[in-house]
Amino acid sequence: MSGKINQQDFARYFSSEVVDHLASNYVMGTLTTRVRNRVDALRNGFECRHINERILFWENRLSPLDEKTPELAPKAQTWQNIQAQLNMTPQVASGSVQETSKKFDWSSLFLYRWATAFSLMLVVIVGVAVMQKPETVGNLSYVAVLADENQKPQVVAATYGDTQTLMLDILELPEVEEGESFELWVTSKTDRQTRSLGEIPIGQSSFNRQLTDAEWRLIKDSDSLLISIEEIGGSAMGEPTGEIVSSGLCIRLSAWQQQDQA
Amino acid sequence: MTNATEPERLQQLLAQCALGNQTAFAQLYESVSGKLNGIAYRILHSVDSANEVLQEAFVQIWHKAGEYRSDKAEPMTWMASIVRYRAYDRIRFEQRRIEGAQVQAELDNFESIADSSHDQPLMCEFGQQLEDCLATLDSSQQGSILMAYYYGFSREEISEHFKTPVNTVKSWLRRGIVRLQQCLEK
Repeated sequence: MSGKINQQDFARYFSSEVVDHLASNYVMGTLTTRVRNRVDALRNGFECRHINERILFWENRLSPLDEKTPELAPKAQTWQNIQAQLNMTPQVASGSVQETSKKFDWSSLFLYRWATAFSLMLVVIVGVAVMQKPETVGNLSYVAVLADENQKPQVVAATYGDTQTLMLDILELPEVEEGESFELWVTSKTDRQTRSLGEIPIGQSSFNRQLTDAEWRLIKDSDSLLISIEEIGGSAMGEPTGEIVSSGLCIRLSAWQQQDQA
Repeated sequence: MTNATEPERLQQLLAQCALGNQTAFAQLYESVSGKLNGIAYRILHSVDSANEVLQEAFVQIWHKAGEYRSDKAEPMTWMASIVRYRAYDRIRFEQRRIEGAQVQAELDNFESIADSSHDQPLMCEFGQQLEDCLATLDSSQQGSILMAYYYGFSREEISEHFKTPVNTVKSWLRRGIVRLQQCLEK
């Protein structure tokens, strides 16, 4: 087996230089399979706990990079596969999870959890904004509270599925220089690409417009919205080039409404 | 449990999993699967592969929950490491690295990973120190470390990208890690 080590090699694993090289490369995933198997065999042994300690050191020190990684809701099927693989009792293991996934997908569940955490902000800001909309617009489908880097809400974006309308309530946006404007972007949860939803007029407290079918598909696949400062006319690059002044997760609401109406 | 911090809550759930509590396992999945799936997707760039890795990782988490040591690592660090290693294995096994624009987008992005000026502050106590220390590295050292850890690039792939011998990449990684370690242990 490639992970086995003879006595001659074994002595090398007490050199701090070798240990740190192995541990750091283990954590970065850059060891060959053969060496990695060897390290796996060593780190679990009593004599080489120092290797395990160094691996833990690097895992802990590099883990802040993982904090920055955006969440991606897993498929509902993944949880069902896990339960099946572990021969778990669905009624016990799934609990609210499976019940929820019958109603809507995992992304909604996690967005729901996010929304719960920020419920006060949503109730106060979104609730008021939504209630003020004319009833003819249609059923609210998605909503996002866009906030600055200090989490101060700046824009509430809402879309209405019946009419494919985008409505923006602009609470507060920074001043822009002459020749600049704001551009709204949507980030896809599928491919993580950011695509434009057009410019936002300067100096208006609210704004609405009809979305094209393509834009509506972007909304349905949205992870988050963001606003950047661009030259008037929008980014020529097809992606944000200026400062990102505001961003927020997109929350799908239609499933809840259907549930309420049922 | 209501007054517990998130790491404490996750520790409690892991402890319950170790005792075979399936409800706790479901709660754990609910709490962290989005983040862990995001980490897998970051490396694999495939929703299907990310979900498969997530599945494998959660099966491992269930079986290994009793081995988690709260004095050694935060629960998320422990679970994220399981996901990362499985994602690295998967990408090596598939020998798949999407060519062209996607790789370029990753490479364009890795500088911004180290530069947090436009991002939310890092959550963990080591976060700021890590950023500061990464910033002291040469760009080739910083880039190769982030390409490996963050996106799962192999040394050969990094060498191909930089059009430089693999031994040079090994040297960048080795020197970068030594400098990073010296900085982090200050």
